Amino acid sequence: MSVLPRRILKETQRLLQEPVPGISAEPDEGNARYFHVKVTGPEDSPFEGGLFKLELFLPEDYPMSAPKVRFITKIYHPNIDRLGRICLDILKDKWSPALQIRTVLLSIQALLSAPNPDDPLANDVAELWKVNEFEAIRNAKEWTRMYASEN
Amino acid sequence: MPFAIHETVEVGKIDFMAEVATNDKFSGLYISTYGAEQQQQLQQEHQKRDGELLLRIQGSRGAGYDNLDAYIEYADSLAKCGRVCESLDLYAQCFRAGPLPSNFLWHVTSAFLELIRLQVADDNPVIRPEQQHHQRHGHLQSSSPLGCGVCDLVFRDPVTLLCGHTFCQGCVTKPTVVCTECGERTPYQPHVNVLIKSFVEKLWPSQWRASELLAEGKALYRQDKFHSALLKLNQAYYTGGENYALLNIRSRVLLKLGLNINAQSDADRVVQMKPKWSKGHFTRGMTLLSLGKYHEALLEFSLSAVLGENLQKLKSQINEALQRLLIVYSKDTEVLDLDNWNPIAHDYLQSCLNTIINGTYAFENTTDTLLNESNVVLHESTFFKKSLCEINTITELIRHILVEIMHVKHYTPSVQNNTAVAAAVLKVDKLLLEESDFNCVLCCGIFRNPVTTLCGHTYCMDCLEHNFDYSFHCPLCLTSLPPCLALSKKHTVKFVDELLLSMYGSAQNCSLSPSLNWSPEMEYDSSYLPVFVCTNAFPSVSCPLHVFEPQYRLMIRRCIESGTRKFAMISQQRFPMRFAEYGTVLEIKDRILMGNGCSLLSTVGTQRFRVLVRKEHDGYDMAKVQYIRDQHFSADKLPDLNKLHNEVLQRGMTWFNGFRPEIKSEILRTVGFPPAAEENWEQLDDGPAWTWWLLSLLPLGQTAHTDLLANTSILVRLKVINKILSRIEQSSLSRRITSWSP
Repeated sequence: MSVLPRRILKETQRLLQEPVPGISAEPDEGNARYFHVKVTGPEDSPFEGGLFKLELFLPEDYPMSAPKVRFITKIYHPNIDRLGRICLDILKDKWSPALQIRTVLLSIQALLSAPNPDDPLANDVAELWKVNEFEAIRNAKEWTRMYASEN
Repeated sequence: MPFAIHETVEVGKIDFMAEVATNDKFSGLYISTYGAEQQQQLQQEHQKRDGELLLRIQGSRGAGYDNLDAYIEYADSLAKCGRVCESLDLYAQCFRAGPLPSNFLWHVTSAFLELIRLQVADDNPVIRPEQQHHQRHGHLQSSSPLGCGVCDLVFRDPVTLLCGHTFCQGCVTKPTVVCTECGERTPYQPHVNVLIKSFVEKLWPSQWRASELLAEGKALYRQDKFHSALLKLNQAYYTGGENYALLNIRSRVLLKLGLNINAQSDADRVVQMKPKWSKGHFTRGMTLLSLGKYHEALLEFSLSAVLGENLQKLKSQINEALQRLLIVYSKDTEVLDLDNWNPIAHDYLQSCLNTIINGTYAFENTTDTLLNESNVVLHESTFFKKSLCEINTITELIRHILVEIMHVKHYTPSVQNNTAVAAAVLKVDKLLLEESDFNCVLCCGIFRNPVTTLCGHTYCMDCLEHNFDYSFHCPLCLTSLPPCLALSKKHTVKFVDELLLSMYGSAQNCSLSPSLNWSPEMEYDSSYLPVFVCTNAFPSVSCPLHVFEPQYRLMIRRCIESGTRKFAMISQQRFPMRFAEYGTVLEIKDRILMGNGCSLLSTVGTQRFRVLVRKEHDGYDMAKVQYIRDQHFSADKLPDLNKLHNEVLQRGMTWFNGFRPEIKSEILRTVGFPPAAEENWEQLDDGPAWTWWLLSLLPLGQTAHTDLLANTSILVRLKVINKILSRIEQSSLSRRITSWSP
């Protein structure tokens, strides 16, 4: 276990002291690079009322490499696949070391508000979202109720 | 006695103007453009013609000023020979017939400027371009390190050059920026340094606001909106206090509004604050001209010329000043007695000047007395005390001007002890800043060696270099930065360094703060070696490498920068660990850095080791290792060992020598020549070098190679080689790659 860089310490500190509304991120007890994240479904989205669990891992060369983020809670979303992997440009080629855990999680929250079926990861979901948006949204609400209910 | 210009004279004038136009290449600059020999020739020609002209003038004497054109031609001819004073004297005569248009004085103006130029050149022969630049802007050494080095004021839209110096955007040259501090070139127009801009806004809000108002005022002045410009400038004055740049523009605005006296008082203050600033003298000249103080105006324009103002811009102003002066003098002077006219005035002037140049003691004495006198603004010399209007000949006036030029040239701001004149030093109020202002966005620590990209964003040098291992984009704005610049040596931003110093005292204190993403202690903990997971390397055998992965680029850079130039080379392993347990230390012999940030390494193997502890660091592996060496054999076993050694060596070399030439040369290029057997090979830590050389060629798997690295018995190694060689000899493989057939 190597020494934790100051940047990670500072980011963690700030995430705990000034949390982003609707987002909580806590480092794992045994591994300061592993975060347990909870994101509430944004208002006026099919995910409203849900509480989504994610895991976030900071690789050794963070911040030069993007954090690895995955949804643990099942979610019906065209840009998130069944394994919870997220299709988001800033987590891949658009990553910049000036971005932070906080900004990444905000982007994920925004992705829930604005699904983008034209850049899909879950093909079947994206297809339905394009062909029959009404039904897709109904499914998303159903999944939210089933898997992401706070109770 | 009144004179009337005859019509014939008018015609003569027109002819003459045509001649001036055709001869314009002479206009005063011939002295510099022609060689000394040609110059002499020209002067002789002129003297010959002058003689004829003088005769013509004398011959027609008594005919009043009918032959004005001849006078003018003679005066111009004198001007072309550099005899400025005589030329002017003669013109003063011509002006008795009524003022001539100022364009008639074009030649004498050129000659006057040339005279000044020569005067300065004699006095100050070597002016390097960067110094010239300093002088152009009246650069003072004593300027505040936190202000712009060119204008001495708070930064307005600061840009940081590659060399780490910062200037206002409006103060740098275009399109290639040459630093006025160090002369280094920045081949791009850098963007505003957002960090420095925010510091300026925080630390000196009133000056910063004033600089904004001043810029707005300047823009209005350029659009000829003088009333609004004046309002803006006054607002700037009350916001940020007086500064020379503001007063200079205000003076010009006031002049345009006809408030000449106010304009002059502003201009006076500008010259007082910045005695070596050409633009200030120019403005003062304009105000003096408007007030009818032609003598002083001519002096100011001359000073402005000396200090580097654009000569073309000055020429028309000097021309006008000369014309006005000639009108003044033509009224007072007597009719020139051409019979007794002493045309040595020029020589007289020269001798006066020589006294000044050679015997500067006289000059220094005046300066000394000036220094001792209280309430005397240093810039003023004896010249100012004597009313210029008391000077009754134009020759004397010019002499005084030349003396004054020398005075200003020799004036050094170091003797500046007048507090009113000294530029306000920018102070840092620590309370206005907090630690987070100095945080690097990449490591979240206080800047360590801050560097600014061309897009204007600041990072620690290490952080930015590390970023360049991954991408050539600016982390904050994603601008693509040219790889050549990204990879070149970077310089810290002096301004931020200076602020850090005033915030935290010394540089040591800064680095004490635990702000580093990677600390040197952690990095160069000698018990840990950085690990390159790639292949097996062997002692004494060279190993060329192409390094392109971001994490290894960083690793190699640190190896080289720290001076250790060593890393561990270990082969990959899938299970149970990422890399094998045994490896070899490689020493970097040479490194070629390529344009894309990758590098080519020439390395050679040194010690073998066993991995004890593994860890990861900034994306690459580190290992704590234990070095291993061969066991020594007892003396009684040596003869047998020696026999085997010689046998295997011979066998190996036969195998190698049997290779086809192209394969052989390929091998030699990659791993080098086979090392000769050492005399004391049995005592070496790694045994004879040739065994490793041969092992690197033998068709063995990675695991077998690792096992051999781990083995500490030379006997075993020799036996393995022997066994493989004999197997090769029997196999088809040898037939494929060697030329002999069994």
